[in-house]
Amino acid sequence: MNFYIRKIVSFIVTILSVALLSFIMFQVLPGDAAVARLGTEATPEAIEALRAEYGYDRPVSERFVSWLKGAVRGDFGMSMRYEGMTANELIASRLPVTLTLAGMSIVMIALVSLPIGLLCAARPGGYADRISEAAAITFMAIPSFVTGLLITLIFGIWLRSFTPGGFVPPDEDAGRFIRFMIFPAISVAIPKIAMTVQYMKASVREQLACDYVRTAKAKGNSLHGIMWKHVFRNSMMPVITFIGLIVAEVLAGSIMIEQVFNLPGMGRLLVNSIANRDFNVVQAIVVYIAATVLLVNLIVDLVYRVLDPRV
Amino acid sequence: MKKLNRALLTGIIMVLLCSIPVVLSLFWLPYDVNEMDYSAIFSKPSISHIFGTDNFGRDIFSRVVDGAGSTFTIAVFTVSVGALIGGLVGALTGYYGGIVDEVLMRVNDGLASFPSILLALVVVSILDKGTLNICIALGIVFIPSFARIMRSEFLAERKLDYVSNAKLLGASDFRIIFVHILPNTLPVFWSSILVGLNNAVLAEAGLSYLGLGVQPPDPSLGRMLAEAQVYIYGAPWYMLFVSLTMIIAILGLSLISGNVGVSAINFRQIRKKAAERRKELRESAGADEKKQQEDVRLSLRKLHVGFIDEDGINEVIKGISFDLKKGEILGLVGESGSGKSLTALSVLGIASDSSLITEGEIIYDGMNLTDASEHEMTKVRGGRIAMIFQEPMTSLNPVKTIGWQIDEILELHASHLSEKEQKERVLEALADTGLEDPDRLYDMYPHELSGGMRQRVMIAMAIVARADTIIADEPTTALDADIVGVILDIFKKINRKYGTSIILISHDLEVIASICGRALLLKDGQIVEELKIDKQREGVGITDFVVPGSEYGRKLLEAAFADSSYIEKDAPEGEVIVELSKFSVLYRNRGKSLFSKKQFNRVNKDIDMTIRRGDCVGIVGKSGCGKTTLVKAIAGLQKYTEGTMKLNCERPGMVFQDPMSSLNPFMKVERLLEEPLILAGIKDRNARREQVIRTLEAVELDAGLADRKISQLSGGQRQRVSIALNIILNRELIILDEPVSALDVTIREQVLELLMRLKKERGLTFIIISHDKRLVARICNRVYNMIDGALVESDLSKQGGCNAAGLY
Repeated sequence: MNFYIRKIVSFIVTILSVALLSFIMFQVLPGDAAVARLGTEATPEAIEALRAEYGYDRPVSERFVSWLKGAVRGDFGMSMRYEGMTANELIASRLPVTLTLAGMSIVMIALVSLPIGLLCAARPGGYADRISEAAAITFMAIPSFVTGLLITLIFGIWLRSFTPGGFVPPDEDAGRFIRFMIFPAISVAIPKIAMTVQYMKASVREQLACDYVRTAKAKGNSLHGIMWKHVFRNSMMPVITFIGLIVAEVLAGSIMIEQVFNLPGMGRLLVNSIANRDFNVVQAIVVYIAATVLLVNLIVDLVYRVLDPRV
Repeated sequence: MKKLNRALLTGIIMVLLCSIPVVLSLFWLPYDVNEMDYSAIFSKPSISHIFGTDNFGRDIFSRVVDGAGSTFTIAVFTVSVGALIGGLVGALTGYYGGIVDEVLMRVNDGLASFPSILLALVVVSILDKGTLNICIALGIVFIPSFARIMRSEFLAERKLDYVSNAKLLGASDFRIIFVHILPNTLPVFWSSILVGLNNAVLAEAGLSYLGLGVQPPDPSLGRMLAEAQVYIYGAPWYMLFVSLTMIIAILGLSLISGNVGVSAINFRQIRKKAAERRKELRESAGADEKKQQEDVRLSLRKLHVGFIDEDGINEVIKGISFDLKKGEILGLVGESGSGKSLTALSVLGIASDSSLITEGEIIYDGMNLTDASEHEMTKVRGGRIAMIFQEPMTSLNPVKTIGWQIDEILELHASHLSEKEQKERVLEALADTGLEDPDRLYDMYPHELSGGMRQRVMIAMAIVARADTIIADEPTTALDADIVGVILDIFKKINRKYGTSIILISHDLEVIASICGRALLLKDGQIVEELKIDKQREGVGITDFVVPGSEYGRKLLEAAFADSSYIEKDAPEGEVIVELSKFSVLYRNRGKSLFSKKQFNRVNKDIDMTIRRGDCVGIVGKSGCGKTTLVKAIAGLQKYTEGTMKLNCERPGMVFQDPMSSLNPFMKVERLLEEPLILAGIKDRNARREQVIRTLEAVELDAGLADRKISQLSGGQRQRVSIALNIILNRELIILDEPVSALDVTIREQVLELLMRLKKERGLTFIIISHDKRLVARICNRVYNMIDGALVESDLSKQGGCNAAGLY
């Protein structure tokens, strides 16, 4: 039980440090958001008024405590760009797109890369191995947004499988929404699939070189038996950690891909907020993403514990 | 010159393809980058504009080359900054460890959970967009990854004995980090730089694509893609050429980083050819090969096995033939590299992928195993011929229970048994190996068992399906001495109870003599002769063997059972050189949390020990009892100690068990031996060389070996270099940690002779750690026994010298 408590405590501590760090970065370092908002030609009175409105005239420590209080309740303050919208409302309206995109990609990555990795590593130097090697290296070399652009070019413009730039909100028509998400999800997934296949292969190969595999062979197991009964579970352990890390990468990929496919998700919100120096929103997104990534890694740690009797 | 890997070559060509125009563009470009030509907007690729033109009529080729130039420049700059700062931070934290390391690594872990592009976005958002700012942003992003890589390298290297050795020579931390460790980490460092370049190109392109990097009108690959996207309908070539350039650059880089040092051998092809050749040979030889005599179980006929390497096939086993009789225990004995293990693994067809049977037959019960199908082999393996390996700690699957792993054999070979019968058989097999409480063991995992118990589990696996042949490859080598006899007795018992034929592979003639009827002596992949064992009395000794016919056999037996004593009788008692009283060595117990209190574990407890000049003190004990920890403390290599230690000499020297790790693999022999002289301040290069050569002579090494690296020397030569390192420094007290254990017996005697001659000539004092009781008995005038960290002096006079049985 001790283990679980320790894990959860360290999760909370890390989240708090991310929050503190982001507060320092966005609220203390960049100087005056009011000037940024109103422009350098604004009158001092107007700037003063806005500063008071956002509470910038209070001491830093006080601001952090009140910001943290809000953040714990999920309140990250008002957007400085969109009048009358809270950061949370903005994010909530964009969340479904990013979550669907990331979720679909993760499922694709797991479903495609794990079996391929296992299959290819079983016969090193075989056709499957060599083809997947070449494909993986090529696709890893193409950044997800270029993949997205090429997919738009090939499937959108030449084959007309979808309308580039088109989008249907999920509450309007969920089916069509999903259909518009497929190609972006594929674009996000492809480079990560390549990475995961390579990683899975390496992990399986490492296991295959272990003494216990030789024992399994000496027992009279067929290649099939060795792979499924012995190697699969052992090789999955590092891969699970890897997929935990991939979640972060997929979120990053989604941010780029939303730009390519013109999808109104968190990524576009983030990029626009950065360009507009809308720090409340940027900060909220950063904290949310960090929390998601850390939560996934926490879950990975717990799954790991179930899989490996040694820890 | 090694054959260049094809993928590597492709990568190099691709990178050159991208970078040569960039370099040329510094002097000449077909068009000015920002020169607009409204008469030629969106012209398709042609001779005058090979990549076409864009929405302002600018030449895309010129812009691509120039844009690639700025992308590459940014990538090289950021990676250099990241590698330099990150590498340094990683090296220092990895080497020193401690609280700074822990804090930095927590920060690093936090950053690692954050995708790099997002991190860069955050930094850019604070610094604002622009070329210089993304350089800074990416630089910051790359620092943690380099720090992480170099830290783990330094952490691993720091634990190797060559670092301890450098400390013993008196090298400063600065020198150890930059002269000793750094060169060994460079291969990893370079490859991580390649990976970093790759990522930097990707990241810069991504940021510029999002409009946060290079600002218009200046081109960069990412920037141009963003522009091209707008005109994807009207001018698809714009996007195509830009993305192709980028893909080729990144692909080239990743091909290089992924294939440096990878060999280009196709095992499958060579294997196939060899199988065909074997078949031809067999067909031409006729078909009566399969005949075996009635009482023979397994026959090898002129077996040749080789390893595939760059120069073709390197034959290691050169024509081995023998018959294993039913119910016989046959020994296979030889020094390392003689081909014992490879022979065994080849019988079952489970030798490594790079090995290959080139000629000969393996016949088992009338069946030719050399050309049996994989399916037929799975029936033989485990069911009829079982194998037991050397390393019980790693030979079991860590995530399956003991019961499952033994039961698996029955599932594979005796599936007709009911589940209940299977479990009974498993429990019976466990009981056969003398393991207590099989019921409880059934549900335990391998990591919960000791090495001896695991080896018994392996034996249980071998007998559970009533395999009629067991091949045991060094089954006792990794075990502590007190368990060896027990395991050998189990083999004897099984052999009697089930009539199982056993091939026992060992380098240890004592092991062979205690249970084998005869043994084949292997050398360089050939059988030198058959050693006959004729037991006359209790115990094990040279008299068990019938005098061998071959000279090598005689030499080996003499070396293995050598009993010449090196103890100087009636030597005058010297002055005290080391005195320990109430001495304890502690280990810092690192808590899981950053804030946990410092805790210490006592490894050695209240040790009292007096060593006099000219002594040869032996310390014996089981593995893990704390022998090495104690002597490292005497050498001054342990941080935390209690009690008092008085040294009446300069720093002690040390010879480690494994010279492969205790001598810096990066340095040549001459450089290794020069290092202490450099540290001693001898500036004259010729003087140093002269002394190196004199020392090489003193340890009976050819001066011609001076410009070889450690990896190019044999085991005995390496250990001589280790000794030379202590001689060149004129160490009076030398600590020897299992100095000859890793050596073959014949070499062992030579090195021992050298050590004892040097001791006598130079009046040295030795502290020797060994698990080999006979060795200790021959050379030590005083012996300590270490049990769980405590030290007890053995009274040598009582037991009639150092009787092997009396020690532990």
